[in-house]
Parts: sequence; structure tokens; C-alpha cells
Amino acid sequence: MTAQPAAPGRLSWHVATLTGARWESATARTLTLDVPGWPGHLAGQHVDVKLTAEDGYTAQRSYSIASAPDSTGPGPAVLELTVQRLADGEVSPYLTDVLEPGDQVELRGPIGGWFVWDPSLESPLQLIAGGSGIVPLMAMIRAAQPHAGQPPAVPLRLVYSARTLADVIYSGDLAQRARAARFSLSYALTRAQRPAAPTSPSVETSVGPSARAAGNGPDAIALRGSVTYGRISSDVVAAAAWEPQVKPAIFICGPSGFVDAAADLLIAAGHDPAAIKTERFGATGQLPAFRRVAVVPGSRSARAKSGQRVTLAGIVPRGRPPYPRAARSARQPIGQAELCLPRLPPAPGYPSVAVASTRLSRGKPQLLAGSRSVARGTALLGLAPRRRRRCWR
Amino acid sequence: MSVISRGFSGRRRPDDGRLPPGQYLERGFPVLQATPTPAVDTGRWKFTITTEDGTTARRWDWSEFKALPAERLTKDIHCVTKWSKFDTDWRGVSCDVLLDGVDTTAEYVMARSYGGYTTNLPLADLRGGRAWVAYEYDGAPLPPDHGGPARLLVPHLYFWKSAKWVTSLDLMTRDSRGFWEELGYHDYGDPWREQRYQGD
Repeated sequence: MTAQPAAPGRLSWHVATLTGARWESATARTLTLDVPGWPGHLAGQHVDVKLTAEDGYTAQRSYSIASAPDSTGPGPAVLELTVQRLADGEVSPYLTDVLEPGDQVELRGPIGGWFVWDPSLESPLQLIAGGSGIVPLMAMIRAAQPHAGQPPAVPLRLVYSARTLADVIYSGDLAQRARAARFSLSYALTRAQRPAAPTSPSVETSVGPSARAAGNGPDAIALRGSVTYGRISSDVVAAAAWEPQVKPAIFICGPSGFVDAAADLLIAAGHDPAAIKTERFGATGQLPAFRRVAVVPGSRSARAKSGQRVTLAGIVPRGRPPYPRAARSARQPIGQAELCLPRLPPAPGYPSVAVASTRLSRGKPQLLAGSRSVARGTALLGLAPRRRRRCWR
Repeated sequence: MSVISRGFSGRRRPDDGRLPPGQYLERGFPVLQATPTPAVDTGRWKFTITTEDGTTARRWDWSEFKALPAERLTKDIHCVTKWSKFDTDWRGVSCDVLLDGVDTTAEYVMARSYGGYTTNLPLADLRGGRAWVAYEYDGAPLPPDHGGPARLLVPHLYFWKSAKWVTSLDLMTRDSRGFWEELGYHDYGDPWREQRYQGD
């Protein structure tokens, strides 16, 4: 992990005036802000936004910058933020539903010098977004592909997980960009019904860039991307992400559970953990409590002591390749798993379960009781979606 | 100068003086980190204190560390990304215990973690019952995504100073910037003075 030299001077507050706004989905709104004196930014950075009530009460939150760095060059400093409205949020509903053109807010930045894409890098880009985690990745896409109709400067693959098509942010812009060469777009929809369901597997077999031209049902045609139904999985990664040999620069952004799941899947596929940069948002619910569950070999589900059903999404060995043969396929039986089940489902939208330890085995499942010979593998588990969810911020 | 946000009233809570400026109260426990969560095996875990001349002054493995006198504490924590959480419940070893008898004239510390994370602090802030290496949260082992098996806990500073997966404290005679500090975050990070970024 090497830090880039990016220490800025004092970050002062700027007065930003809303000059335009557009809805990207039913709950996400892009704000176009005129920010005199804006120093410019790198793709992937964020800003702090401050609201002040008449009595002086203030509230601050961080929001990712959606616009490419170029748009803040000489001339009027225009900055675009995309804000996802959180139902019980304090600041986001104001920015999405109340703020009107001409209104002013204060902001300062840019903030964050780690989760940034350097245009001078020639590595292919692997971008993985969960929900509104697409926003800083969109800044990278726009930086890498200044003209939507032309291929990006580096080959780019985007895997974007959203609940439904209606929740996809930038769908029109992405559809246009994905028409260009060297741009692969794949959606993983976690709450959508597949249009026609001939079989029951959770993942389409025909995912991936090669399937894009042929389309993958009406959704794919509308979106110009391949679509799978269900959470991101080893199958999705195998079909839609770069192979490790390509050595892409990897950026993952989304809810923390999603980020961990995606990062583990990529590491399992052989990607170098050091090549992965992550940005997380949202709460994970209360800190998880450890519970043990038995996982039946060959089964793709298990029942935890708490009664919560867990679904096996794959086996992800820790460490570097070569992995044991048994660990390569998600369909290999899992022997034992000690799970860490959240008492509350993590929010928002990706209730993955962290696994404390696993041991890969074909034998009879047993509970691990304080075993030390662990950390050889991690089973990625997904809790079935529950209605009761909470969002914070 | 403040710009009044037309129509914004906000969600106030009774100000009992526990929320630092610019923070909001969080009931969950967000996870913020720059890299994948490293798998740290307690069978190979170690924790060291290195003095300014490079000498390893203290070294513990997991069982030795767990045998050190630990205390249970309840603290408010404050993340630079604006959330604060009250009354978090930890168990860990005071840095006073860890640093006891270590011969040094250093004034700064670089905390280093599995996975490569670093953060710098004044040594004085690790003394006086203000800092711990914690391995339990809410009565259970600290999960990996929250820094388990053990993390630094310095609740009077922004929470990025409480390095997850901590494995060493390297004493330094001169201050040197850690991971986020190098990227523009404040060297000290006092939430009550809202020291989020360099220059604050």
C-alpha cells in the first residue's frame, strides 16, 4: 500500500450555487454546482457538503464527485455531485428534494487521494459498483472516456450491482458509452425478477462481454449491457471481470458488505489484493456477533442458529494462488464454516455475512470450536434479503 | 460567513455536549477502509513495539497478548466521515501497560497494521489511560472488518487513528505521516477542534 503524494493545503469552504439538477433514478439526483475558486479534483474524490439552518445549526456529509476532472478546468468551475436520497437521512433528502437552482450550499474539497484514478496509468480498468457506489466510478469513466461515443483511453470493464433496473444511476449515459469499443458493461440486479425464467440457477450462464452484442433479454437491449440476476458471484466475476493476467487497476465502491464480497471474489479469482482500491459507505448495522453454523457439503444453503437462512455464494480462499483444487469452484462442497452473522442486516442493500473462519473439507460437517487452523478459506455467504432494513446518513 | 440553506432545519438532538462539531449520531457501525479486509491468523499474529533506534523493545504473540491485564471500557467514537457513535463497548490492553518500562525519548509513534496501513500519533496520546489495543467489541471477538483480531483504540482522536489490524507501534523522534495523513488528513485529528484535514 503506497500513498500518493497529494497533500493539499488548507481546505477552505466554498459557496456553491446550484445551476441545474437532473434525476438519475427515482431516488438519485445529480446536482450541477457552480463553485468559484474550485481547485479541481481527481476522478474518484469526494467533497464535504455543509448545510446551515437559519438558527446556525449545521450538518455536514460527504458526497462523491460525479464529473470528470476536465470539467473543472479553466473557466467556470462546474462540479457535479450525484446524491442518493436516504429515506431517513438528514442531508440527502434536502439535496434531492428541496434544493433548487439558485440555492447555495457550502462545500470543501477535494478530499481523498487514495481512491483515485490516474489517467497516466495504462492498465485496463476494472470498476465494480454497488448501488450509489457507481458515482465516483462514473467520474473515472468520464475521465477515461471524455467522449461517450469514442472508446475509453484504457480498456474498461464495469460490473454494476443495483437492486432493480429502476435503481440504476446513469443508465442512459452508460448505455451510450458501452456502445463504444473497449467498454464492457455488466449489471447484477439483486431484487429484480428475471424477464423469463426457464431455469432456476441464480446466475445466467451467458453473462459477460461476449454475450453483450447478442443481448440478454429486453433489459440488456435497453441497457446495452449484460444482465445477471442475483448478487455478484464468482460466476459473474469469471464472466464479466478482467482475468488476473490482465493486471487491471481495480476500484470497488459500495456498501461495505458488497465491497468485501466483491474484493474477496476478485482475490479468489487470482487478482492481487494490492491492486484493489476500495471505498465504502453506509452502516453495517450493529457490529456482528459470531454464531456458528454447519454447512452441508454440496449444499448451497445453511441455517444459522439464529434461524436466519444463509445462501452460499462461493468459496473464496484467502492468500495467493495456487489454491487447492477444491477451492476453485463455488460448487465444491464446503465442510465447515464459522460465521459471523449480523444481528441486523447490513444496510443498504447488501446483507453479506462475514465469515470468521472456514476449513475446506469433503468430510462430515462439524462445527469449528476455536480451531486455530483457520484462515485457509472464506466462504462468501449472503443473507436472504429481509424487508426490515435501515439506512443511516 | 455561513450560507443559510433555505428550508433546511435539520435533525437536532438535545445537545448534551457529546457530539463534536460537524458530527452526527450513528447507531450502526460503518466500516471505512481503503483496501480489502486482510485475513489475520491469530496463530501467526504478533505485536511489537520498536524504539527509535530500531530495537524491538516488546513482542507478544496472541496468547501472550491475551494474558496481559485487560480492561473493559465504554467510549464515544468519532469518524472523520462525520459519524459518531456513543457508548461503544470494548475490551483491550491499555497502551500504558504495553509501553511500561520501554526506554525511549521519542515523541511520536507510527502505528502499523497488517495490510500495510499506517497512522501517526504523538506518543503522549497513547499514554495516560487514553489508548488501548482492543480485541473485543460488545463482549465478542472483534470481527475482521472492524479490525480484528486487534485494533488500536484512541477514542479521543478521529477514528482513522485507531488503526485496524494493528501489529506494531514504531516510536519516532520526529513526526512522519501515515497513510491518510499523507493524503491530506490532519496529523493530529482532534474531533473537538474539527481537525479533519491538513490545515484545519
